Amino acid sequence: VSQAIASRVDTASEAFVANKKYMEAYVAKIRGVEKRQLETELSYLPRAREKGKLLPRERLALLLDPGAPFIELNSIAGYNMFDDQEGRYSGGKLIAGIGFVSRRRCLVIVWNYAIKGGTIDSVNVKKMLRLQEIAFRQKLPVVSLHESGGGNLSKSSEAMDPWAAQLFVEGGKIYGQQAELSAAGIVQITVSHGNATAGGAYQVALSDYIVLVRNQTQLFLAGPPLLKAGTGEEASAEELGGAEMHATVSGTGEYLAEDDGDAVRIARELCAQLPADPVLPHRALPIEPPAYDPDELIGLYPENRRMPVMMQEIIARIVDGSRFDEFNAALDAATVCGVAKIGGKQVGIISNNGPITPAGANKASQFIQLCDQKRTPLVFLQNTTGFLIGTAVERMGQVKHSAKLIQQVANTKQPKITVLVGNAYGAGNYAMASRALKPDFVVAWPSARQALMGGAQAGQVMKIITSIGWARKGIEPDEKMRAGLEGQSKMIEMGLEVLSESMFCSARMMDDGLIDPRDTRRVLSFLLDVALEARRRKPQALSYGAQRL
Amino acid sequence: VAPLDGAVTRVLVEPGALVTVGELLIVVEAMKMEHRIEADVAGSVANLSVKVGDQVKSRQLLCEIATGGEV
Repeated sequence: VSQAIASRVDTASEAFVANKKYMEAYVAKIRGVEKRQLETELSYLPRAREKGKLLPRERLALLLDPGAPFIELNSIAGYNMFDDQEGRYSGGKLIAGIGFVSRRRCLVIVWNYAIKGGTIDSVNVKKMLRLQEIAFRQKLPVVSLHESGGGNLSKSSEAMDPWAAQLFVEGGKIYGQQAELSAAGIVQITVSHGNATAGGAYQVALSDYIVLVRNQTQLFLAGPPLLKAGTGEEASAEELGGAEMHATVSGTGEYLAEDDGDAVRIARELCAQLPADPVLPHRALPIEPPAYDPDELIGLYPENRRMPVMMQEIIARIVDGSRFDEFNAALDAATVCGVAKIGGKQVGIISNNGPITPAGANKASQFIQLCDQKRTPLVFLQNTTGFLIGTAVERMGQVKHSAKLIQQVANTKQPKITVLVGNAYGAGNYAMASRALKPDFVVAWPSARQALMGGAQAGQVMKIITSIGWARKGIEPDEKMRAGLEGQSKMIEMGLEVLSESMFCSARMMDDGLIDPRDTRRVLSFLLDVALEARRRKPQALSYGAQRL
Repeated sequence: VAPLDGAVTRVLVEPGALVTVGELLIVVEAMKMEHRIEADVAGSVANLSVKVGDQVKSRQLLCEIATGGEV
C-alpha cells in the first residue's frame, strides 16, 4: 500500500530559489532575536564572574547530557512586547525546553537572571504556565535552575494593570500547579542559585528537592528592604535566608552546594535516581531517512501565500523513505490524509492542499477514527485558508460537517502534534489542531499566519457592512466618508497582517516555538517520542505531594 | 472548468491561441488562494467565456481546447 512520493520539485527552478531566499531571510530574522537575547545575557558575564556565578546558559550546558538533543520552547516569547527591544529582553526570563539529564528526559527551566534580574512579568507567567501544562501532560520531571528578582512592577505588564494585581493573581496559579505536579508524582528538582523572594521563594519551596548554593541562595518571604518597611527589623539577606541558614536551621532545602557547578552536579545526581525512561518499541528498528533531502523544505513555501503548495512535497521530506499511504486520495484531493512513519513511529498525517469541503471534513473525521482505533498518533501539517464557503456547501451541511471534524480532533485519545506550515485561518485553524484544540505541541514555520480571516477579506467585510448600514439609514456617503471607509478598511487589512504574523504570534505563545523548516522531521520525531513515552510513564501519585516535614 | 466559486484574476490566453499541455490558461482566486487552470491537452483555445474580474461558479466552463484534428 505504502508508496514513495514522487517529487516534482525542481530545486534549480526560479520558484524554489526565490522561496529559499525568502525563508532563509526569515529564519535569520528569528535567529537575530535569539542572538540579541543571548547578547544581553553575555553582557552580564563580568558581573557574574565577580560574584563567582555562572551565566544561565552555562548552567544549562552543565545540566544537560553532552551530545543529547535539547529542544528549546518559546525562545522568542515576549519579542517586541512591553519594554522589549527587538528581542534584547525577550524569552520571558526563562530558557526552557525538553532535554536529557542523567539519561532522563526532563522539562528543563533555567531562569535567565541576566535579563532584568529574571523578574516575573506577564510573559514569564504565561510561559511558566504552559511549561507546567507540558510537564503534566507529558509526565516529565521538572528541573529548575532558579534565580529571580521577583515581580517586575515596572512597564512589563498589561497597560490596564499598572500595579500587577492581575499578574499577581494569575501568577499564583504557578504555585498551585507546582503542588498538583508533586501530588501527581511528577518530580520537581530545583536549584536555588540566588535571589528567591516571596513568590520566587515558593517556586523553590514547592519543589520536591531543593539544592542550596553557599553564599548565593537568598530565600525568604520578605527581603531586608520589605522587612524594614514592614516591621522595622534590620537583618542581612544572609541571616534572613542564606543557604547555610536553610541547610542547618530552617530545613528549607536538602542539599548544600559549594557553587553553581557543584549545585548542577547534585541536580544531575538526583535525576539519576529517578525511574528510567520508558523504552519505545521502534527504537530497536533501523530508521529509514526520507528519499528526498529534508533541507529542501527551505524552498517549498512561497512568499506569495496565495500560491498553492502541494503538501505531499513537504510530507516527502519529513517521513521515512518518503513513503506515504494516502487515504482516499481520489475522494477530495484538497484535504490530504495518510499514514507514514517519522523516525520509525507510525503516524496519521492530515494536511491541506485547498479549502476544507464537507467531503474533506468527513474524510479527515473518518481517518482520525481509524487512527484512534489503532493507537496511531496524529500529525497535522496545517496550511488551510479555512472551510469552503458558499450556498452550495452550506446546503451540503458545511457547518455540521466542520463541527464534526472539530469534535474528532478535540476528542481523539491519541497524541497530536501540529506544524503550522503556512495559512492557518478561520475555523480551519481550529479543525487542524492549533492551540485551541490542545494538541500536545504546536510548532510553527516562519511562514505561518494565524487569524480568523485574511486581512484583505476582513477589510472587504468592513466595507460591505458599513455600506449596508449607510443604505439602511438612507445616508448618501460623500467623498470624505468614502475615503474614510477606504482608509479604515486598509487599516484593518494591515492590522490583521501584523497580528497574524508568525513572530508576533510566537511572541504571544500562540505556539510552542518557531522552527527552521529544515528541522521539521527532527523536531516531530523528538516530540512524538515525548508524547508516546508519556503514555507509558507511571508516576506515583501522592495525595498532598511531597512535603518538607 | 472552475474548481470552485471565485473571481477570475488572470486570463493568460486569447481565443485561437495554441497551447501545450500544462500551460497556464486562467487563474481563479477564491478562499485567499490562486487556483491555476492549466491545459490538460495541447490544442487551440476555443469558447473562451470569461474575462478578468468575472465571478464564476464551481464547475462553470471557462474555455475549451480544440485538439489537433480540428485546427
